[in-house]
Amino acid sequence: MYCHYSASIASEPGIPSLQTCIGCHQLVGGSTPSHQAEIRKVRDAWRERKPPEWIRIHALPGFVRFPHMRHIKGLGTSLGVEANATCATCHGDVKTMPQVSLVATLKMGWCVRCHVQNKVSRDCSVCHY
Amino acid sequence: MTEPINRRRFLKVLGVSGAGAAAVSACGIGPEPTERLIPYLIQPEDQIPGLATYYATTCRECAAGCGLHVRVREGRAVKLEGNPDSPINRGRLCARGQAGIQGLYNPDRVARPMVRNAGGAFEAIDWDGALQRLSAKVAEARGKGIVFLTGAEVSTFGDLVDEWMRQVGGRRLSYEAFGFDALRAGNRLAFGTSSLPTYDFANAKYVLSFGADFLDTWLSPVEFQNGFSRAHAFDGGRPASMAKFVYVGPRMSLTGMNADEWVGVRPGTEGALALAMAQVIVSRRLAAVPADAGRLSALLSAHTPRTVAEAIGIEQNVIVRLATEFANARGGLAVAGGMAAQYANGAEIAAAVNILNYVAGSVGSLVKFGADLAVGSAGTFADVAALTADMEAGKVGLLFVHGANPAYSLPGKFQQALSKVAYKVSFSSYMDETAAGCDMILPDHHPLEQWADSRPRAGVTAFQQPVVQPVFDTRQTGDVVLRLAGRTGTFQDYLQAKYRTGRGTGFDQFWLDTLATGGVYGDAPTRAVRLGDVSNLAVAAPAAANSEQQDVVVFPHPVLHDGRGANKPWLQELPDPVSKIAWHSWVEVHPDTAKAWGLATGDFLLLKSDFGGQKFPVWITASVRPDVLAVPTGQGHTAYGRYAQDRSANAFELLGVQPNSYGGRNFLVSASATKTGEHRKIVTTEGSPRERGRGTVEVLGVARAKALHAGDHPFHHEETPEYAAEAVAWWAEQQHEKAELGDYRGEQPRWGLAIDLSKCTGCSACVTACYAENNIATVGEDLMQRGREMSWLRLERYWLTDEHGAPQGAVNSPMLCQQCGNAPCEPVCPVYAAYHTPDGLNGQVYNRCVGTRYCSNNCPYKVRYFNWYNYAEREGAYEAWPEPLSMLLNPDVTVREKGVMEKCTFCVQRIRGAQNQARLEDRNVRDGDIVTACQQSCPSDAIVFGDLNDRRSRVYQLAGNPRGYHVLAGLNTKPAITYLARVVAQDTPSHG
Repeated sequence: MYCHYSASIASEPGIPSLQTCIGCHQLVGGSTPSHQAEIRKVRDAWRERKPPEWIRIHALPGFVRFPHMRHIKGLGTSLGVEANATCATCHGDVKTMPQVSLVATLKMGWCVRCHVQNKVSRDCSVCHY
Repeated sequence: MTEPINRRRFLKVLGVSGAGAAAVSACGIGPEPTERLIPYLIQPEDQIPGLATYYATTCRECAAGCGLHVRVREGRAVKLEGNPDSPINRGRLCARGQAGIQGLYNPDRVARPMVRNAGGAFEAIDWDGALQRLSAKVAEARGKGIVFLTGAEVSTFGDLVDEWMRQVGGRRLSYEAFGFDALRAGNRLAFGTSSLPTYDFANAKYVLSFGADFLDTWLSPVEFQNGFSRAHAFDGGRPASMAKFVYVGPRMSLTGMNADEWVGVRPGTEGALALAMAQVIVSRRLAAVPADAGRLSALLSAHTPRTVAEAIGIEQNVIVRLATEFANARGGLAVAGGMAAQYANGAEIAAAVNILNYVAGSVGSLVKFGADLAVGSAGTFADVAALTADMEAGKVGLLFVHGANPAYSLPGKFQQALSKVAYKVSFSSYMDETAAGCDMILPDHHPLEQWADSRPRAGVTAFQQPVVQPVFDTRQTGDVVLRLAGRTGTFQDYLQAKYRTGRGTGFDQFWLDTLATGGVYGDAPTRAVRLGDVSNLAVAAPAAANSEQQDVVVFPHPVLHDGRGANKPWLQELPDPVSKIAWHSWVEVHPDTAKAWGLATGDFLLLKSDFGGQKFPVWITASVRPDVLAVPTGQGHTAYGRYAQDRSANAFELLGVQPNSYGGRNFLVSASATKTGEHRKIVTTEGSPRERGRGTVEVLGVARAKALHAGDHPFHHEETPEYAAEAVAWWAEQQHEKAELGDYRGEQPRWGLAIDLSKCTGCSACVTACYAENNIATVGEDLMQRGREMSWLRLERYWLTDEHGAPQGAVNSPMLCQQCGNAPCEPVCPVYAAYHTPDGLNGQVYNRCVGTRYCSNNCPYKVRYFNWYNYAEREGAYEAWPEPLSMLLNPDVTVREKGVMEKCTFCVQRIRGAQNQARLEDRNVRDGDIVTACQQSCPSDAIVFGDLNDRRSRVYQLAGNPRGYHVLAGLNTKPAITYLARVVAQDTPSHG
């Protein structure tokens, strides 16, 4: 994963730095006026040295410890799909979203259902410690 | 309502409608408030969020120079661990080293340069302005006496200061409050060299300490404890044998507590005992007598057991027995020269012990000169007393102080003399007593923030590198000195230049390799020494105090040390390993003496020597001689921050300021002791000093231990009674069924610990490591008095007594959550917060806990701790982590809120981390992948963690050891922790 670089190795997904964004977007200017407007925001931010303040959509409460890398490893291999579809399982098809929105409730029941379906641990202390 | 009403939903609706929708998120029921994520502008290269980066550096909390690995998360240091590559500590770290991180993020650090203004108060100044002023002062003071006072500084920084002092016509003096002057003088008397050797405890077959506290404050405690454990622990390094340890001294220190035998001699008579033992060895030819032993004959014949027995206060046959044991062990190591044994005749005592080692053949094999320990290079007390006199006489125009706090350890005298110095500059990171008396403070970086090196002993160069960005606007003193000396470049350049010579293009690789291992590690060649002329050695003890006065021994506190640890709350909250007293000093009084004087524990005694008086609360203990009182150093600061200031009393006030005959300071004084009538409920975590046969600790004599075979059960073993057998079997079946629900039928680990009491010395490194790893709050003195301390791991100390009831030592047992297989706390939790995990842990889900406290009530080990207050609340009444101390919190561990029960869960965050890593690498967790914080820090390797279901794991082997037992086994809790019984050298040890 180029942007969210630590998602497959750590529990944090890793927000890409502005340097990562500008790495591509200094060349990739966008194909439609709305795309170009958004990318212009990235270039402005880089010029002004002021990273954008993203609004967090997918947030779990502080008492949940969610290891990203375990899920990518587990879903990636057992579903036999590429990482792209693995991410879509919880986050939806982000690459087609004009603005990221929740596609799942992210409530504990939703998590546990998937765990039961995939026959992985339902033990409390794997997430709550 | 489409869903049926259940209890949860009912409470939820009630809560929401009662409190109103606006308060939804505050109650924690609704969605979280919106967070914003701000990315880096430029990603730092070596930081991956969620993964830790480790840097190798060196601990500078004492002069031993142990290597560190610092765990850094997102640019913050969160945990200090030992560096396995360092030959000094081999990956272990003591409590003081663990608490170093509280020095880095201490809320009372001096944040920027300060200068005293016309009104006499300190005000902030910018660095350039300060350096300009100081340059002018240096130019002004030339020829008027410039002195740079440092701590023991055998390093490139020390070399730089020496160079600069030569340039300006000044001098450098190094001062350690505990400089081991007696030992150095004794080495000079016996062998003609005042350098300090290193001692090979690991290969000793018999250890005899004359007041040298090698497990807590003497020279290099972590290294010596590690070596001692290999020699002394029952299964230490050799098959089922152990080196006997005898401690000679007027009080039992932490080191003395671990002895198999305590010989409580009159203070000052240790030298006579050593010579008498040497006399027995030589006259009876118990060891290969060295060729020049004839030179000792006059001296030894004047110190036969018969002539000295009465003066020392022990029987002749005991002296003969000790000498015989020492010689017959064929590898006896005698050590001396601890601070508490620094009497007026301390040098002679150390020389006498050197003679004992010499005649037993240990010099050159177990006592190795050539190591030149750095702490032995510091100036003597006489040097600092001379400096004080010069200052008083106005002969010092400019004084710099770095890494030393003489205004605390020479209270009054130095402070006075300081006021006579025209200009004084402190480089201290904290507003200590000396800094408070200076005119300018240019705060140095903390050792974790700077580039440096040091040579703790010959052959070892320990490097320091910055592990975090500087927290405050401080500047490395090396940079300041270079600026003042008119040189360009930073101290990092200066340091690198030193190592560049002779390396050419290979330097870059050398530098990277060295930073990765933390230093250059080699052995120093052992230097042969020759016995000097000791025929006139006078070991006579100083006269005892007259009948009006008492002998008072001032001893170094194991964690507060010479006072430098007092501003770290972890160290203040750590109960002293011997007395279990926290946050306060005390005076040790024997029960007979206390009865004669009508004292109870907590009554205050005013001790007044010729030099000063202070009052201390009494702690009644049989671990001190009846005619001796003992007081620890470390408290009684008049500055130094919120945790240290105005707390208890400063024992240094009782000590004299004149050097004695060998240039050291007497730590034994005569003082009058009067009751003041005041009383204080001193904070002690001791439940009972006696074990009373409850089965909490088991002790075996060495003969019995050697005779054990696998499968033996030497301890009282309660079988499950027949009437309960069915119930227990039903319960086990229930647990198994519950596990099946989550499809846990596969192979699951069962996490367990094995704790070897024969290795545990009670040093409490594990306790501080646990505080550091698990975000445990320090509650302060008031709450500790009410029993609210939060330490998940406590050390219980039970005295071992001989047949007369006199204490001979103690057994220390770390007590933590036993992760019981049949836990009393699990069935009583109404909300399933305390439950049993499939991998054998007693889980504690903090977010489910509602604070019933029934679990703690039901726990027979009392290892569950409740958050009575909100210790994490910013500006709260019981705030445990005032800014920036909160930066040391471990992000992998939840910070608990008020109303939540907490306890040890075998560092479950480390277990999950290792499991995650193993899954990424498509393998199972291997034995040794998971190391709990307590296990990692223990210098004796007493704690072993692992999977009890893995037959090849270390913990499985240890759990099956015949010395193994469970605490309170008769309650049928089926703990996952196996304790291995302490083995003592006596045949029939008894304990209360």
